[in-house]
Amino acid sequence: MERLGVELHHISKSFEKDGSPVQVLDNLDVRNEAGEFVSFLGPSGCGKTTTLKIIGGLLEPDGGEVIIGNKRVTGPGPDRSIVFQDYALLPWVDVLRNVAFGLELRGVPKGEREEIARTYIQKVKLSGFEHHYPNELSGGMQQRVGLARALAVNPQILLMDEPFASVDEQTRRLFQSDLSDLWQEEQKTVIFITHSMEEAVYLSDRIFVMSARPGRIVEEFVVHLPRPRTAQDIRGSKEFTESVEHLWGVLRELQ
Amino acid sequence: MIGSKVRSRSRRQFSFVPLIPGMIAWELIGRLHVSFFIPPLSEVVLVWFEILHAGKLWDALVISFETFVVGFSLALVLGLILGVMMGRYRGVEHFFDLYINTFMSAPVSALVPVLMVLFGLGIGTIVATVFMFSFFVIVVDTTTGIKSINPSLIQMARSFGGSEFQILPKVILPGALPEILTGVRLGAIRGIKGMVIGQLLIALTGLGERLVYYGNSFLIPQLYAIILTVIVFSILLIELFNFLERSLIHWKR
Repeated sequence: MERLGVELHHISKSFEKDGSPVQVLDNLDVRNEAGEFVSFLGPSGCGKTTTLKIIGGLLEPDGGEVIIGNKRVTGPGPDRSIVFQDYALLPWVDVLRNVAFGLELRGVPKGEREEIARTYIQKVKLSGFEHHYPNELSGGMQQRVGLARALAVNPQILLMDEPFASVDEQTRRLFQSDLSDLWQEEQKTVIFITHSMEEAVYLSDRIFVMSARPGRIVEEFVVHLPRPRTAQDIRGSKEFTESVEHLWGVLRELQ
Repeated sequence: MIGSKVRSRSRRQFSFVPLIPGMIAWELIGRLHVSFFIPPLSEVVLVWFEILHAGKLWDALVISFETFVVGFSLALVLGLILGVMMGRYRGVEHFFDLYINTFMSAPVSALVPVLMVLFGLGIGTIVATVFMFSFFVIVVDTTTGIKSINPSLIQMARSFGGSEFQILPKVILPGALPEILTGVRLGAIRGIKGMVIGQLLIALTGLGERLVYYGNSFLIPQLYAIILTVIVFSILLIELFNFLERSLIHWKR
């Protein structure tokens, strides 16, 4: 499958708040190579989620453009799918139909889409839960459903909006290592939004640190840790802690 | 664990048990001859079979049921359409909001004479009264249901390329279904009230005509028999909607 990178050219965006405009993104200029795992790291309100929604085609920038594979983004497309912070699962259908929902919207016949869905349910380690409803699953399991749904449409680019923000620490670490494995296996370009420095270092090839109001890239940080990183001791390694310390230094300066 | 969850999902089942003490009390007070206006329950039930047998109750029931079904169906279809439009499009909501709220709080019974002028002294006015009683609550609850849908579900559907025509039946309507069904149930209950009030005021057809007739003739057991009929009719209808809610919204809680 062709791999696509994402280019943001001079993206700016402002919202109206209490009658006056607030500049959320200011001249964002970022290039993401095909197959790369890139994180946007920053405090709440720095416009990371807005950036993701602009790349996803759910929001239009006021200025600038998003280019994917030489084409300008004008809306959602089959080359991208989003993993939502609040999972965004349909509570009235079971896991199988939730995972198949993206394919359903794209008109894939029932038998075929359920077969694909089962494959991805297995990949995110939820086999046996096909006929459970979202309210019967823990937060971590619900987000695995969200990830399976995003992967099932086989996008080139996976956009993840703080997917582990509302998951407890132990679930989060398990999920991070599973995601890391899946990323290596599926060879997707990933754009990952997070406010956790450890998470960004553990998962990413490159990290863009953002400042808040207006959102700007203040630092581009390349993570030099070897892959695969799922080994137990990577978090204890000198490079890992130094990277996290460095990012903390950058973020602390912003306060 | 999952089994208990399944059980706790269902709404309470209808039970006759709480009615038994009330029925016994009614029977006793009736037998004590406290008042001419409180005949014993057993007598009311006997009379009910009598007037049913005479055919008068049955005719009144059929006419009442027909007017209710026509008026309520109109309210349901138009109420759903307007409610969806108001929930989905801000402009539509702004335009209709004040009208809907006015009619929600207006004493609709007082408008029945106006309806009589518009629709004549027949079925038309009763249908219109049923409609006026049930339409607005259906609109309001449908609008609320549509607006209360988690916006990220809609964004999710859009992100997978879903069109408005796919999102409406696959995301918006199922998401709003709990509130819609509440509105439909309340609309039906109000519709029954509207049906009886309309018939009482016109006093020419249906159960309302029977109520006026028996009331004016001081045929008290017969009067109660008709009132009981209306109540049983309402309870059956409410139970039908409760059943619908239980089977359609099994995913909630």
